[in-house]
Amino acid sequence: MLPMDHVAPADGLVDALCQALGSHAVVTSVDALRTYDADASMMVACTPDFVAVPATPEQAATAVRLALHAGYPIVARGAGTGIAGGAVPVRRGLVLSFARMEQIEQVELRSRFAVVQAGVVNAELNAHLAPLGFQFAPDPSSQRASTIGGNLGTNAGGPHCLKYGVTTNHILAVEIVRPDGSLVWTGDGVVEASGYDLTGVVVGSEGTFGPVTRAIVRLTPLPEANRVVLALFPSVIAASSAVSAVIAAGSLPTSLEVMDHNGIRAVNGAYGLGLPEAEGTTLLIIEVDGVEDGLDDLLEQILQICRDQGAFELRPARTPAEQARVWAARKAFAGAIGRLAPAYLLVDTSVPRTRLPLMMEHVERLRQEYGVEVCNVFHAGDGNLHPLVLYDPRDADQTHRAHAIAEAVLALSIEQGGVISGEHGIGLEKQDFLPLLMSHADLQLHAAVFAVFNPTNQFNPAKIFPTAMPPLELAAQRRARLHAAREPQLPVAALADTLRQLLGAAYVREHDAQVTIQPGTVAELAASVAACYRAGVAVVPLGGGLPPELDHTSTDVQVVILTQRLTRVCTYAPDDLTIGVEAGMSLAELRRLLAANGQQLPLDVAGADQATLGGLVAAAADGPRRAGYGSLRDWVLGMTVVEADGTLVRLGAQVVKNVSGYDLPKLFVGSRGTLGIIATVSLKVFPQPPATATLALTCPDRGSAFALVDRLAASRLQPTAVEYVEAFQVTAAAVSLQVPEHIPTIEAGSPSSQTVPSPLPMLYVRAEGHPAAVERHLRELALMAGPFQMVSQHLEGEAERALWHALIALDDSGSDPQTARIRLAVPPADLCAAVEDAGQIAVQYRLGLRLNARALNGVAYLHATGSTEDLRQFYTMLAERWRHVHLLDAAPAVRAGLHPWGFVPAQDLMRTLKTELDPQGCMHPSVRFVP
Amino acid sequence: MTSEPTGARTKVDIPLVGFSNKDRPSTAIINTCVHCGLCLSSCPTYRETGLEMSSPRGRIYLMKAVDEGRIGIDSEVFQEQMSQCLNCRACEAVCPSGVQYGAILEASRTQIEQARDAGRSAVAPTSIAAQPVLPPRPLWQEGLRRGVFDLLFQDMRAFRTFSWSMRLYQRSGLQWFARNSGILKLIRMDETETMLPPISTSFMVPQGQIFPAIGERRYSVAVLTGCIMGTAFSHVHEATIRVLQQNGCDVILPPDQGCCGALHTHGGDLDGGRALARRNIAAFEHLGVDAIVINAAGCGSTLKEYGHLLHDDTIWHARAEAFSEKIKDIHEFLTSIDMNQAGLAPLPISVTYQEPCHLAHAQRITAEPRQLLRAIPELELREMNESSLCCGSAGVYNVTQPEMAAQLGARKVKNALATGAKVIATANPGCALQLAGELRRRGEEVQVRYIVELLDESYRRKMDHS
Repeated sequence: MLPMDHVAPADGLVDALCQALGSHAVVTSVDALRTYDADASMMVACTPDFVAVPATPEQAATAVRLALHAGYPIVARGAGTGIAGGAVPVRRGLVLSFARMEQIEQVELRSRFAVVQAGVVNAELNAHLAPLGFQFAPDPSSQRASTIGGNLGTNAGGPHCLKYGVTTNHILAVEIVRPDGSLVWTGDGVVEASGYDLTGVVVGSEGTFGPVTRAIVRLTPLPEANRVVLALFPSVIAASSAVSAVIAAGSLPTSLEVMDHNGIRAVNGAYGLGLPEAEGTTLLIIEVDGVEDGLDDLLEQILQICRDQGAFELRPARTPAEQARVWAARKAFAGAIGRLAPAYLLVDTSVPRTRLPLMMEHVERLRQEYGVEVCNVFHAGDGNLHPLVLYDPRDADQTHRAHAIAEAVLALSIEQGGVISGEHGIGLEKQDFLPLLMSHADLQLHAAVFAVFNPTNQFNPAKIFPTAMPPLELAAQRRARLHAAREPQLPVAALADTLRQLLGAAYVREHDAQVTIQPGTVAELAASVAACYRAGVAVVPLGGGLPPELDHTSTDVQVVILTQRLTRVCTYAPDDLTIGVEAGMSLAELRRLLAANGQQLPLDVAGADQATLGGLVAAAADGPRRAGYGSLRDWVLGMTVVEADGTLVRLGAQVVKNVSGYDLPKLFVGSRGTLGIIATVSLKVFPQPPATATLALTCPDRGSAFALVDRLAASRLQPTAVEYVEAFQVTAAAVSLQVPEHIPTIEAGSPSSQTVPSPLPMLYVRAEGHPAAVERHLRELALMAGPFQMVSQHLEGEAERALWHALIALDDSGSDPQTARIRLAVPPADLCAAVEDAGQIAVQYRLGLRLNARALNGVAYLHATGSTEDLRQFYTMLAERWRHVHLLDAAPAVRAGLHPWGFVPAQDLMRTLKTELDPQGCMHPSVRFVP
Repeated sequence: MTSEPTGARTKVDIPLVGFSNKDRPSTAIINTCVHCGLCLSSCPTYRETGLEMSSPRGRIYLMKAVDEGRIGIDSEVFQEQMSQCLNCRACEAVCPSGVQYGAILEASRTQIEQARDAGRSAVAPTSIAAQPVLPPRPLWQEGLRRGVFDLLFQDMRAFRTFSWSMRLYQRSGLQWFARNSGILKLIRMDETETMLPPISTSFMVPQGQIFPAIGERRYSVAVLTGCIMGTAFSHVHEATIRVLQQNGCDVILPPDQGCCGALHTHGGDLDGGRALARRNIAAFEHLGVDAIVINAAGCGSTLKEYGHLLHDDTIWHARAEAFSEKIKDIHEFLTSIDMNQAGLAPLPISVTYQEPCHLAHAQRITAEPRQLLRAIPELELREMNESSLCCGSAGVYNVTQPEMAAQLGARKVKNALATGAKVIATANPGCALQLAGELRRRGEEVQVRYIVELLDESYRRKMDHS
């Protein structure tokens, strides 16, 4: 008996597939195909027409090409452990299973990345890495079976994401299949690639941007030590309050997981936890990790908060076996529901952390109101709720009530500033709830990006977007909107006057063909952009500085938009550890605001008084402390953006976990104003560490400096910054080393250091956190440095502040026409060689060269000084020899005719994306990533 | 919350051949599966094929489809998958919801076999409401099945006679002829033949023998000698008895015992298994021993589940439960008592441990065998990758699914060899044969030994030296 609408694929297609993949890898038998009609959501969709199980990326690409050519849609499937229906077909077609693509192709420990096929099982990757001292940090509960491809499709979270971040923070590049069957990488694993962050937007796209065949994943060192404690509370609300209090107190544990009495009942027996199961009893699992030193004290501080919040029992899980059992129980929870009820709805929403207790009160009220059992097991530290509504599908009324609770929780979460999915995705489950969260324009922008990746709607169709709003229609609507918004046309000559009317004469200045405006509100910004669009005039958004790409010689009229008056705080509840501000706020002002609450944004750049948040985000600025905290890409949670026609859209949200629609904010980080103008931005912020100190090391030579960095990278230490500084100068055709005067130098204390020409390469290593942990870092580092004959100096307090101030000032080259600023990014293992090479080329072209590098990240900033022609030659040669060479700043004569962006991956996609989002090409047109 | 049932189930037009009521797979157990998929990565056949229907979740989904009348028991996919499953029960050990997979798999196989039995007498394969009918097995299969299940394993005298004839085959030169003439390949028995164990010179025939404890008597235990363990592996029984004696046990081999019935229950002949269970219960239940000790993982797990096997039998159910209570795997037993450590002499060898499925998954005994290996001085235990992934032996699996069995055997031996260990330790006859067969094919020198054999050797060395 066949499912009603099953259409057997044409013989020719099946033959071709069997030939390419082997007949064992192609499923056409109907009874077998039925097993592919559901994933862990049990939202039965429909039986696919056929299934292909490729063993290599090339086979996957062939299957895609054949199926698309024959008109079949394609659904990519990992292990089918998703719970939003993302991996099941609703339009039949081909299910492309990645179960056999499980090769770990390459592991680079020093550069901290691995190349893996999409079907690699998360737990197996971790089992492979653990003996090497590393991990792939995202740990979704399904990790025992779920694949990396599936994890990145849903931007999966997990209990340890509180400290380590979600999947997107650990994916460096992906290989996707394009509709023509070609394989395209969105990057090469070096994070500083120029152009749009396609990787960031493919992660979380739930297979709608094409099947992912391979990924380059980030490796994170395993912590030296950890502690796990089970804290028992009398109610779920008390436990939630404790979580908020812990976060508010400024300690960021590795995990804070809540499990209520129903959850305890489900796993207690099977995992031998021996926990009390009385009504109300709620378990909070707390984990902290790091270096051994100070860990117990840190834990004790957290436990004291728990006691204050009503914890009646604290049980440490001491042995690794005990800890493993606790986590196995926690992760088995959803699967264990079979012990409690025949079916469940697992609601996944995310709210600002401080709203958790309130949400728990709502859930409790709903449970009583609807008379349906609800179980709460969730990632409390992230504000990610998982009320699990238990019901019996054979009872229609109960089923109805269960769904009513789930819907109410979604609506309440949105009301509290939250989103409708924290980590499971939208899939089939929540597509019709998306309009509750997003405006029509927001959806249109989502659809525009969809159309770039999935122009024929054959990749995982009928997912994510509301059933009544097919994405290609939405994208067409947006195109029509952009077309219509050009009317009524505004004569260019009248633009300045129109802008004056909008903003007031004081905020509009004209010189030559350039109009400079300063909108005072987001609405004014949007209206100004709309006016420019009607006039057909290009807009150039400007934060604190002048972008080097700004073409001063242009005779075309252009409008420069200064955002400096947009300085309001939109949302700041300090205990949420997030802040939303207007794009024109300066970094210095943000720091002051945060510091008043003991918080910080760990971004150190030169000129913080001028630099605006919008500008920093648009330029994807980075600072030395990215080694410990990540970079803006990891902290931007949401933003509002003014599109080319002046439409204001909202992307992301001010919550730390969010997979409700595509991760579009990623596209705007580093987009340099070419896709839209950032009006407001929501950021993750961090508590100020209780202690910080820096060890400054004078190294006898470059080799020993990098040998020390290698040892540091292989250790269990977690420094927040490792900055390398070196200077080259031409002296009689040989390279000597020189530290410019304004780098704090160290008195040469040991006789050995006087025998080498001073000044020498410097290494600055910073540690932050518990005082004992900081002390340990510096002590161990000094020991490591011992054999290398380095002179070390321990800096704290004011001296440390002054040091970093001076180091960061190195990035500010001023406007010396003789100097070019260049960013050179490489896999960290290659940094020493790259620095060496850059030095030799500099010598060849008789340039002075100074560089500072984030030694653990493989990013070097070069300041080259010399004649225009020599600078041009130097840049050209460097760019020929190294892939990621970006000319940041140089005099127009140096820049003229050079492609400043370095390597740009997936250029066709980049180009299509720009055209789709800004068809008139009016957003900052002088920036052209694709040559 | 939204579903788009575009591919909705069609309504049933033709009556499907469903499950019959006798030994029907429990709907309640089937519905305990919430489809979470956490079992997938632990399933050997899924790991080899990457196919959903070859996973535990997929197979339960197929059972559910038959149970709910969406597909028939005559579905080729259903039959193939019920056969392809190794019943290793790795999925059970990792299932968060505690789905008793072995029980529904064995019942599903029994459903298929019952329908085939019915097919022998039916005129044409049709559906009769109460009695599902499938086409009968090919004659050779039928003959083999009846011969093996009804004759050989039901009567240990017949089994021993058969074993003698196999021994004759091995010693007479007939084996040499068969292996070199290509005749085995011709009758497609070449893969199976390599598995044929070298038959021991003496069989362990249980006749009520008692082997007294060495030193102070602390326990009295009975040993089930079984079928193949009593003939091909009688040296393992001897080792087991000596190790038990070393640990202060009087060891009794009660008469009238037989095969545990594992092959029958796993192969869809639950009634055959029940007959054997009743015989064994009767043979052991009046002994009053402290424990009934088993050295074969597959037998141990079957014996521990007699209660479930006979759950519908009002007379035997309680006796079966009491019997199963007494069953102790040898590794479980030795680590639960104050073991004789002093009597162990050093064995300076490198050993890797291959976990029998019915020890690791069905009985959840994973730490104890390792604990025993580590107890032997100077023995170096080297863990292999995927130590608990089935080796592909699984009873008659080599005969029913030779291709998959060979793939898994090769995968296992590859993992074992990668450790560089000189000995692969295990605790089950099927595993021992599978590993030895694969090693022989590769011409590897590595030995396959039971853990009790290594313990025995260690005790004996001490005896020799003192």
